[in-house]
Amino acid sequence: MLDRIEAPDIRRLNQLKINRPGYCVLSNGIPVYQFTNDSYKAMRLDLIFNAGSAFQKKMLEAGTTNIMLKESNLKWSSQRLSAKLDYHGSYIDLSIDKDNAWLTLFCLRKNFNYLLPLIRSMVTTPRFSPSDFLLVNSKQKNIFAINDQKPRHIARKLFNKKIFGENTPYGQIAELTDFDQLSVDDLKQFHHQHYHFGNCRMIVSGPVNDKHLARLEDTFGDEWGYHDNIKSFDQHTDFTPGIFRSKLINSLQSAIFMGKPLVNREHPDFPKLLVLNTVFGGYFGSRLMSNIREDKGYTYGIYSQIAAFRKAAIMQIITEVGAEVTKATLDEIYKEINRLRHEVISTEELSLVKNYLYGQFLRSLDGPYALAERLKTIIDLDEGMDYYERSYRGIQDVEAEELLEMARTYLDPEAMLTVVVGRDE
Amino acid sequence: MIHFDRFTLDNGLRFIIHRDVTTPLVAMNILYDVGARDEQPDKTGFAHLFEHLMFGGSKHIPRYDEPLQRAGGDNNAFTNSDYTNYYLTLPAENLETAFWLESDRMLELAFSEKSLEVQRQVVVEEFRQNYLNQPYGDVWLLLKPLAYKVHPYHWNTIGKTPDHITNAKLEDVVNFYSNYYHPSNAIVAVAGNIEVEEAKKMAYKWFGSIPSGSRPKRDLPQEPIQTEKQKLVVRRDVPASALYKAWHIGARNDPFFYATDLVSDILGSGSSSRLHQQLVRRKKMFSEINAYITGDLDPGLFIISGKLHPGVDPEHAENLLTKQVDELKNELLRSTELRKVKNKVLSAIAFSNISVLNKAMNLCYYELIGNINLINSLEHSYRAVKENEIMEVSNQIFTESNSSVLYYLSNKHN
Repeated sequence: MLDRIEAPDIRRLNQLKINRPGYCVLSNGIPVYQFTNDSYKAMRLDLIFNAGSAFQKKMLEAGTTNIMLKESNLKWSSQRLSAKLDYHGSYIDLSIDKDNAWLTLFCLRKNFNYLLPLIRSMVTTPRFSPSDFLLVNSKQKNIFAINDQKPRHIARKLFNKKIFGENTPYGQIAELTDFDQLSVDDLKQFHHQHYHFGNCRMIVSGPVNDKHLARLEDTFGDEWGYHDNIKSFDQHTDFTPGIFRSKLINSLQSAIFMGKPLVNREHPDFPKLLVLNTVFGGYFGSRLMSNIREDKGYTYGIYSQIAAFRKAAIMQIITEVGAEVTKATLDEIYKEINRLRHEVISTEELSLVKNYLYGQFLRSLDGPYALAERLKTIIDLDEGMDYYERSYRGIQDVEAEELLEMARTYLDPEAMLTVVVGRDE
Repeated sequence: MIHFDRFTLDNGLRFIIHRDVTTPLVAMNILYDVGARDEQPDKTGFAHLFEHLMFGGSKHIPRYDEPLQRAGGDNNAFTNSDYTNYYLTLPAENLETAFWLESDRMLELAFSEKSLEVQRQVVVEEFRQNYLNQPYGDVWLLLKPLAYKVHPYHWNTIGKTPDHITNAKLEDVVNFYSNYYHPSNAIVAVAGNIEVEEAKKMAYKWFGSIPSGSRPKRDLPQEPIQTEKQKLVVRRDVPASALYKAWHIGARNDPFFYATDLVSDILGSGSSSRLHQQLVRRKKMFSEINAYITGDLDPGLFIISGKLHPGVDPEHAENLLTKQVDELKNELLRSTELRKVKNKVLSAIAFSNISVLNKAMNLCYYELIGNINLINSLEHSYRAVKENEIMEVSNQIFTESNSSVLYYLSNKHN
């Protein structure tokens, strides 16, 4: 008779093998990391620039500059450019975060070499023509206006201002009127300062061979762009704890953001905090999910996460709950925080979370594109994939008593910032 | 080329196994052949609510998630109009845990009032969060009943109204389970770093003894051919007016499916597409515009949706849009344009068949629609489309009487 009650034995291949990238440097100094798998048909190329929003002098500069790389340049009109890119089956992803801006190309291997000069023209000679700008800016403004009706978006804006400080690089938050202040000259200037060979790093993944690397050298190996070395900025976080509410009369739900600044990735406590966060709200079986969704049914989802940037890290709890249970949810969140600060996590729960995180590491490092994504996230640490090795070891070594200490040190409910947007009753 | 083994257990459960040694992971995907289209008109949203209840514990295992997470696994599920899909990934060495968990909830679910009560609330919050408390969130709640009068596609997977969710009874849950959740109504795919023979053995061991059910007969009312254009105008508190136009198209297995999909790419996929070039860039009527097909198993919809610039008359915008669409009916497109959209599809296919999870999902889906070889031949199906088919299918689809249009107007403009 088949035993369906007893779970099959769980095996654990404890050694996590993290592939290290190949590495070379173009003659102008651009580092090129490579994750190779010859069985793939498709390639991915990441160009990463020190050009995130923290560097901008004016709201929206960094994001709009980045997104306009797809528009006309000295070589191609935007229409011809998009036709060429599409004809060769490529996908271009342009985006920024607080620290970096990037352009990611996805394409079939056979088209990679052909597409490189197009990418070069996009990155080095964008025109920023007034008509393209008008089009892009009005579309972005529209998207922003739509988001600005979502409780979660409104809460996120307020939360970001308060957690980093409105007048700091990380705390600057655009509003709708900022779209009208932006001009093509701002973008030209920003591009001039930030998009050049001295500010660029590359990751290429897929069936990469020497010929591809030679073409990268041919295409990007010279001293292109203005070499102005703005590689850093000062972030003096100006954190304001407390509760901030914003009313949305007709909202069926309230968006809640709660959190506080933490230590950075380089700090020895960081891997411990990753475990603490997972227990708290970092996976489906977490305490916040088990209690507030799976037991109470107050929400479709509630998460906590650690957002780490180059010069700061924060923990944040994010949820949208029925307007009528806003207060009850806040009470339960506090209750869960206090449990973490007063009760030692059981061996059972801790081993479950460590196992789960082992699986998460495998998933997030599975295959060349995932590895490229992981490396991109921590490219500023100059530690390469060793970072994940170290982080993994830290996670597996953490003990329950240490987590209690982490919660007592870092999760004081009195020191939290809470933002509630909606119809709080 | 993706190799796979396919076999059926005596109880009717279909299995597909694919070996991929480039990953330390394994993925298991289970598709149940039941979706929102199988619901009763007065109990909509049920298939999706039921999906939530599948995580509330089974006969021998009180909690589904906990043992999976302990084995390093992660999982999720989705429901659409046609089917319900459960998926997980875990370290390959723990594959047996997945067999243990999934076979138990196919054998017998643990029904509880508490789980039903909580998940009713969770789903109502999901309804609010994604459909009611979002700008443009109710578009599909309006558009589907406009286009479908008879076929159950006329409601959305989330349901017609939160009341249907709130009214769900434990008795409904039990009946739904016994009708649809059994071996002969499911397909399982396992993909990853595994020995095929070992996976086969586990399939027999864990699923072999589950009693077979009778496969429910599906006899859905089919949508009659639409003879008159449908139009709905609503006003909402949104920043920009939007226009949605839908035309009825064939089913997933219609021979023109691939040509239809390519028509949507020609018109509205990416910034080199016709609608974008003409109506966003040149005429500056829309701030953004897209075209796509729903891809449903029964006859679906071809949709064009766009956001209007302030002050643009929606009727004027619709006329210009229709003019663009009509060009495809009257003029043969250039072969380079057709090649362009095909190339884009071919790279998308290459990317979609990389992760073991995607491969497992695709294998189940192609098995469901009766052509598992599509996992390797999908490329060919797109390549084979000819210029004249694009014209032919455009003539079939794009008539005013076959269309439904929704003007979703901003209270602030127009």
